[in-house]
Amino acid sequence: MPEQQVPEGLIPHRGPARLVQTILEDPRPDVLFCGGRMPADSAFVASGRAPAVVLLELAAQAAAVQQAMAAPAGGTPAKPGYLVAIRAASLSADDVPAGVRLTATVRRTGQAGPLATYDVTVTGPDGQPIVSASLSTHAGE
Amino acid sequence: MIFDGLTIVEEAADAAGWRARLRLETSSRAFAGHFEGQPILPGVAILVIVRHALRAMGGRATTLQALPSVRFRHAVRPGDVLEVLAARPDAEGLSRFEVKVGGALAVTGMALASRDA
Repeated sequence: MPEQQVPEGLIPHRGPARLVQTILEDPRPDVLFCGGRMPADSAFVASGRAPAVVLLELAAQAAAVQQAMAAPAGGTPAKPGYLVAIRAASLSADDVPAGVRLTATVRRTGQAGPLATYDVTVTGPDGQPIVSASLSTHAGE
Repeated sequence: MIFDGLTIVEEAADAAGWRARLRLETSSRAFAGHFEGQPILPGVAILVIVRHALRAMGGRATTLQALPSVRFRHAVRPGDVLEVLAARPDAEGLSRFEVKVGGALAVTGMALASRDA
């Protein structure tokens, strides 16, 4: 599939809180590749760099995109979801430059009602992993 | 500054670890777009605070290498005051941390600092 912008209303993140930008590939119903970056005007960017741990938010947003794409089309507005747990997160860098192209890969590993679990990886422009983890999310009320 | 709009009210490091009281200003850009009409602090913001705590205890060269487990129990909102305790890393570099808001646990977890911590 050609790379496409994440539709504005698909997830509720806006402005500097919106890290995920594009859908790169959805090879299976439970797997999604997204493009993104750290916005220069993010609250977490100082001197042009952000702590690498913030990239877990990019992964969580990619998971929210996957969840929204998997939901039946109903035209309901995107509602806030919540990150409820992180397990086995590993970081290979301490910080990352703002604006650099990043890729988030998410694979849904479980779903029970509003709760879902994902294995996630965020890679840099060189394709090397910067952060990986297992995330648990709640779809919200 | 740990991140925009986070005010350090008190901060201290001793043999047990790092403790701080931090106030989230309502003007913090951390709430911008997250979410409109329903602002809550992104969970990763707490992890940025933990990274700061590890550096406060181990020096600026200290890095956050891993998070074996983190649990987010309650949403953190504009104006909240966070009470943060990060234990000094053990022999394996693991530091337990907890964040309370209004006396209630909001976030708990373990972080692994680099070996030079």
